[in-house]
Amino acid sequence: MSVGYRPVLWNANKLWYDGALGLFVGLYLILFLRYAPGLLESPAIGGAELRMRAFGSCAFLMLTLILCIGPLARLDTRFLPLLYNRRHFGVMTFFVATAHLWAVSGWYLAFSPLDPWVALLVSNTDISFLGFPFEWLGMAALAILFAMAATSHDFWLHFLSPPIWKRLHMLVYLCYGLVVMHVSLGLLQSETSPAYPVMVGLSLLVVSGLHMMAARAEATRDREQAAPPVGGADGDWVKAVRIDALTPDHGHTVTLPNGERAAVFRYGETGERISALSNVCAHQNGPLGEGRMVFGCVTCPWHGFQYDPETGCSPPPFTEKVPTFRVRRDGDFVMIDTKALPAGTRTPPILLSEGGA
Amino acid sequence: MQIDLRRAHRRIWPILTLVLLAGFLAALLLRPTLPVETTPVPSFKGSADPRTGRTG
Repeated sequence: MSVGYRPVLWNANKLWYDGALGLFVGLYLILFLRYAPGLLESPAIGGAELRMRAFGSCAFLMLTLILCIGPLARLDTRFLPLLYNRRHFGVMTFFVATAHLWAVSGWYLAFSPLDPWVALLVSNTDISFLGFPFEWLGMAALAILFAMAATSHDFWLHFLSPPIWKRLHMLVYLCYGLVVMHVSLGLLQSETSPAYPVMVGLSLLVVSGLHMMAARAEATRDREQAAPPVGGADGDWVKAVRIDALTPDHGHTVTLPNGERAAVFRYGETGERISALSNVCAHQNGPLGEGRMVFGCVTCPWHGFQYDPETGCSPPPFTEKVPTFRVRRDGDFVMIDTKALPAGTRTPPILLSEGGA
Repeated sequence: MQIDLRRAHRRIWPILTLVLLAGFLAALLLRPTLPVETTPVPSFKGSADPRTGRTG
């Protein structure tokens, strides 16, 4: 078994994204170290503990922001640019969280007769709710962040396959839960200032509220885009969309009776061709139906992966493929066969010039 | 696959929200009235306490 080499493709966008992130982290740490002692800390604490809290709260804030990007992009496409390089955000969060661990080990564990790592895991053996070793929760969250950062490159996406990679990276939800409880059973038990509970509570409300709003909006969209089945002699066809509702060179999403989605595109020099393919990009499951035609190819709105609308194949030298759907015309409507064809199967488009549109 | 992920999202978040809110509120409401002072792991005898500078 061999694997191909995939270099990191740096571009101006990624450099700007990383630069802005670095600036944000630097500013946050400076402001926290400068102003937190008077505003947040009660009673006043020393420099080492302050550094610990600066890195810890920064990582928590970054994790909160990361989790907001997905639902925000689903609710409003103007947030899509934040999604493009979200993995860079995650990797930087891992580094900030590691700096938090470094600050913790340098303070609480440096004077233990035990090895610092052993002390971290054995210094608290209380397993009651409030006394639970919150350190373990933080370590588990950091282990998840590490696994995600280490597999963030496209090489791992291809090596593990998108379904496994995506499921691995959904562990970020578990990581967030562990961090919330790490803070609740750790810092919040000793800190009397209301600022920290308010921060954690707000984070919880915003993150879960946005995810539930996005889920509700998607469920509504699925109902609105649902295509009723009409049956047929050679397949299960659905009346997908009116032809005049299709904007040339823009995608249109249709929800099929089985819950899957198809992306319908009208394209060609005069918008005379119509094809349908899976709504799921082979790269990271991006919504192709929200994409556009660029240079004759369906282009995913997330990372720009492209597919020929009639074959579902990426243009050479790329090898990605997505399933296609058979289409036919019925009066003013586009009909779709709900049985997806294997990825990369050529299927003839509807030619409007032949149908007298 | 996408439908699975969408369903997973819809299933995960209501449950995760309830569990985390319950854990967060319980941790807040049940915490001791007096703040618990966080202390370093006991130091070797004779070495300086980094907070107070005292030895022993």
